[in-house]
Amino acid sequence: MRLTKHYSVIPGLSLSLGYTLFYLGLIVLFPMAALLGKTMSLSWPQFWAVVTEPQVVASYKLTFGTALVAAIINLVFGTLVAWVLVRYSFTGKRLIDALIDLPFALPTAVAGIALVAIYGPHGPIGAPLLALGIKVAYTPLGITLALIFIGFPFVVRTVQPILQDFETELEEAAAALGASRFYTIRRVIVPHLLPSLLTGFALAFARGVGEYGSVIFIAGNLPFATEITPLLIVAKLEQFNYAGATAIACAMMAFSLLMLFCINSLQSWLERREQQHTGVMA
Amino acid sequence: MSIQVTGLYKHFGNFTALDNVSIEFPTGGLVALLGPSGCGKTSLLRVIAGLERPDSGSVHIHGKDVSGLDIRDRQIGFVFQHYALFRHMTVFENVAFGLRAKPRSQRPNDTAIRAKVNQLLALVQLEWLADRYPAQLSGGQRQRVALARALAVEPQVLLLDEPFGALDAKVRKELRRWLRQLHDELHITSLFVTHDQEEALEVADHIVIMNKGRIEQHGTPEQIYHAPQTEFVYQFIGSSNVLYHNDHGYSFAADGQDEALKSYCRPYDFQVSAEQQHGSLPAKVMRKLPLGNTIRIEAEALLPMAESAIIDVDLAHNDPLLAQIHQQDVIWLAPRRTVQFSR
Repeated sequence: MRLTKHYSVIPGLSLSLGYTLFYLGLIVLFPMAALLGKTMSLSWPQFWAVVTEPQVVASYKLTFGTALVAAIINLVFGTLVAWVLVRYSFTGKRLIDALIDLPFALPTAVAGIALVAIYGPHGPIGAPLLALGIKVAYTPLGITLALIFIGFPFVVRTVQPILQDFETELEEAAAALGASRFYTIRRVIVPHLLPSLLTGFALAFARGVGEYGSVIFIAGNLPFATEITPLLIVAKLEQFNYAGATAIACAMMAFSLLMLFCINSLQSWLERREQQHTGVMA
Repeated sequence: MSIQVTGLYKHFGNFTALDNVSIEFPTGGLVALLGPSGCGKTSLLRVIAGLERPDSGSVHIHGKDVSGLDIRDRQIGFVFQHYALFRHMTVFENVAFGLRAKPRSQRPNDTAIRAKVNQLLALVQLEWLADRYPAQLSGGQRQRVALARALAVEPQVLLLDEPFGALDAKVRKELRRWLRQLHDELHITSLFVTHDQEEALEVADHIVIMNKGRIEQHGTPEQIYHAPQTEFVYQFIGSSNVLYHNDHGYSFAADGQDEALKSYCRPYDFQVSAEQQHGSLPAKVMRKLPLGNTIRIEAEALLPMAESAIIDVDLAHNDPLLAQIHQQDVIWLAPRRTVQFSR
């Protein structure tokens, strides 16, 4: 097979490709390799013992479970917010649009402290909820809340531009054909948004899995109940158990990689299908 | 009367799209809503469809007041300029959409849907494309799919918003003729919006001319073409030249005269000669445009002052005079027939 070079008005493939690989190696792969290298100092049985310790397993469940729930909730409400921002104009729309990105900019610890202040046992929302028997702070519910907060912009920002491109004529056509609103959403709008919904979901989920700063304040960090995996890793580091910390990190990385890979495959499958639909003419 | 609108007003901010529009459309007709952009023709169509709510006024379809009804319940077929096909569905699924979207109690079974869709695809001559996706079709094919999709729900009226607007000239021509034939077969009351007067004259059996949110004139193509009732209609349908009538005859210049003396002349209503005749006006030939059977001469009127006016003159392609006149030559024009509108 010969490598054919296509003519392009903007040249420099080899240069940019080389740079990309070097950069990726330096920033992403090298630290990962160091992580793996450190873990290698453990034998297989030792490694297995560390990553399957009951307390650690409980933290996986909590971390991935709350991230998943938060991503699903963000998917629904983020889409709704994107819809409102794209479709309606109202006073203060630009302000709200700017507010969406705030979780990106805010130090996560600040978010965590703010959430505890409000949803804590003495907070303005936490106290009445507690009276109703709903405990938010120091429970998985509180963790989910923090993850919803920090993952929220991802869904809005990925769905918004796609929704902006969506022609309202398609909805009008569906309505003229007698389709109900729900049917139109299900058969016309969602299929159109699906790839971006998946991306937003994947980003929010990945962010949720890795989140540390905001969660530790509201989680309470009780072993087996509200202790997230990143916290366990930090705890191990504080005990100078570097190998143990990297082992758990590796396990977590493997899980995350697997899930992101699944979501990405699903997405590229959708894209291929989409391309087949758009054909060569579009 | 199958579609009747009364006293429609529609404003978008300061812009008046519909200004007290009342009209009845004949049953089974193919009606063109014709006018320049921004004249309110699309707004009228969308109000009839229920895609737009009028500020006031009512819409009746087959004698039933549908003003308060949602587009879903008006039983209309709507065809968009840019087709608005669902691109993740095959041609077949696009056409079946309206049938599948019906509530369970009214929904036909799969066999019935299949039969109906195939029948419609046969009607628009696209059965062989049933499994393709919209992006794999040409513009003309897409618009025919859109039409089949609209017809699937057996609408009472068919509304088409610039249905040929996005197509190239040749396809547009074919599709026009095809729409006319289809209408003669189905006899479904149809309204289509266009800004192309040729299209309206060719396809419609009734034309409604709109300007600035009002209806200027409506009637058969013959009435519109041969008996324009307003200045706007005269100028909008076909080319025209402006002349001013004074004591000495005609002039191309206003010369500060009263607007009431303004009259119009069609390009083919000039007596053209190479020498000065009694009552003829001089003009310099700028360009000769071959328009097939006629040759259009673009001439600049020779006026005393710094004014300038471009005059269109049509001559038959075999007119012997054509050989004599060249660019920059002066020709003499005497209007044979002029029209004046009272204001």
